[in-house]
Amino acid sequence: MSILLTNDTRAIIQGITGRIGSIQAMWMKKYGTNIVAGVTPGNGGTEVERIPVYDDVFETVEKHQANASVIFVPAPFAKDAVLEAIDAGIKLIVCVPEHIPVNDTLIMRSKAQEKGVILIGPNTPGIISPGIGKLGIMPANMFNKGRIGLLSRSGTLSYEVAGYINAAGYGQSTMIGIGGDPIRGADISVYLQQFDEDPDTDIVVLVGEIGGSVEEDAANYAKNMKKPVIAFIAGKNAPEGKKMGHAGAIIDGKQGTVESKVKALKEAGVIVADRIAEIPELINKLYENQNISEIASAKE
Amino acid sequence: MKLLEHQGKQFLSSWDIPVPRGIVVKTKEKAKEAFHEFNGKAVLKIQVPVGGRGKAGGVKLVNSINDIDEFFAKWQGRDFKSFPVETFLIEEILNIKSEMYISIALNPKAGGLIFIFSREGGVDIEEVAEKTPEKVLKLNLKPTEEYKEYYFRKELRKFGLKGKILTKLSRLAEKLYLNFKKNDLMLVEINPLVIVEKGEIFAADSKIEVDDSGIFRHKQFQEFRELEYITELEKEAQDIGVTYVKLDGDIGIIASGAGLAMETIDLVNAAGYKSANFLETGGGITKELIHRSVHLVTKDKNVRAVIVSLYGGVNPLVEAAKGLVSGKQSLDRDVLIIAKALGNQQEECWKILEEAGIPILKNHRSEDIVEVLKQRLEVAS
Repeated sequence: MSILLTNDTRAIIQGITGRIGSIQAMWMKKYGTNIVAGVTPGNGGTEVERIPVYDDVFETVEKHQANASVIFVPAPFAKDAVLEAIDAGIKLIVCVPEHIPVNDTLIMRSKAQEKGVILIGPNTPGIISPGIGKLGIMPANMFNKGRIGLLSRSGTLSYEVAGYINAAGYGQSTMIGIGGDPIRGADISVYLQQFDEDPDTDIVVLVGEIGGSVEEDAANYAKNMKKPVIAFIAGKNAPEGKKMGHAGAIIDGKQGTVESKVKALKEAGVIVADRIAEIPELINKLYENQNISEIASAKE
Repeated sequence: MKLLEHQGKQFLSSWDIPVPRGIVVKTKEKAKEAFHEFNGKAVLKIQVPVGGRGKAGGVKLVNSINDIDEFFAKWQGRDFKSFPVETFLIEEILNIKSEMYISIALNPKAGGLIFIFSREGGVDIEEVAEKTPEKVLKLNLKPTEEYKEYYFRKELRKFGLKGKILTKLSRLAEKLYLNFKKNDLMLVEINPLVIVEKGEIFAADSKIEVDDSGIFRHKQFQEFRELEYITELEKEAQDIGVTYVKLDGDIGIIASGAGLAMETIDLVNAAGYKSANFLETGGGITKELIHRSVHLVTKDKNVRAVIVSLYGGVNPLVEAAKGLVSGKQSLDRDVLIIAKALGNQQEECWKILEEAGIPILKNHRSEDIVEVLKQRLEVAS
């Protein structure tokens, strides 16, 4: 069915009265997401898109049993919003804003880990479980329900890859934008493990890019996965030392290049697509060659 | 933002970390003038925000005016790894007894910071760590803890240091750590850290990287931002609110996401063309932002066509379409502009572009937009 964002999710929107928060509240609700409340300190008692607004996160947990939050608070204040959600007992936090200072992310990340909270992002389009809901800014019409787990560092590329997957007649169990910053909340291995254990996901597709080592970490975890992983890495023509849009997308000497990532992934048995357009063929092959569940049990 | 060596040393110095006496110059004449203050020998270094200059001859011991002439002949007006060489640092020569390495950096893997020290400096620390890991001390620093001088003293002592040099290093480590956190840095590295005959320590080089996202709360870096080592076009991009990286081809790229822009560049290049730039709008598209982006990309006179690739999630596609139309119509030369757009408001967006005669691709396939480019360019020639 899906991971993390499921039928049990009762979500709130922090920063719901802001310019972006209020528009995105409308899109998320329109898609059918179970949004139980919004929070903007000082605006308690009002409504946005007929969603009740509260002054703090604790009240939404008490009154609506909220268990997930999507953050639309401006970057300078995002850390405090995330810490409030963690403290209030929220277990899934989607941190959308870009340009959050790395030192703030380090604190959010370690507090989340301490309390067993899954923090997606920051600098993420969010998470969508087609047919169930979305917490984030991705256009919903880019995603179809299906059995492919999709992970991406880039929002726009996740839309592109989903488009190719949909056109081939497949769809996504869940898509997670893991975040474009150098430091992320949850590690890639957390998502890979969830997909590996999800009875409704057959194959995981990972969309990476230059810079950092998240693809190498993924390779390391994929070695012991039951399910096949297909990866694609963007940025073959990126020059050294230049930040390619995402704060984390930068080649530093020999580190972070497409070649080094592809090598690590291939060595771990991950199938690497040279072009995005190849991904549907690779999925076809996996389904044709063998029943996926047979592959899974053979690996066990 | 990566500070240049001399900018970084300014900060180290303000944290009471000794640096060699040096003078920043932009011209050969000024360098010769400055040379007279260094008793007939000095070090001359190009100032670029990227590593590897030593191996390329960008750091040189100069003993005469002739040496300076040679160095400037080699470097002035040249690029180093695509960064124009514009500034030089001329410095006193230290009486080196030994060279060490010290740094604090982000540690994405552990979700914290990492302190690295080695008694072997002036070399590639990654190489030393790989070949002889016992020579490198690495300490993971947790973001939620406060580390004091005694912590570094204890760890450095266990690593085999003692006496005066131990406390000098532990105090230096604490300074770097505190200033790393206080200033929202991503890297502070001194390599080599020089120990001179009298036992004093000097930062002979400096690498400091500032977190761009943290600059809003640090006035001291905002002025560096003004001086940041970027081209006119990159400055304009900052002003518009987009990221622009110049490449050396003739096909302009505008995309509403970093991954999408990189992917489009890869596909354009794979098809035998060459991308002229990377331009990523991020999530704040307005009509004006796209209008100005079209002008920015086409300011590079090599650019003969532009691909605009957009997804409407947080971005309003209708505004984008309006900006694209007004941008194209106000250009002073004829440039082929083709677009691809999907997402919220897509139908309205397509209609606006079609009415303005801008070819619009209505699917997710970036390969197809490159195909459209190919056809149009073939027709044009």
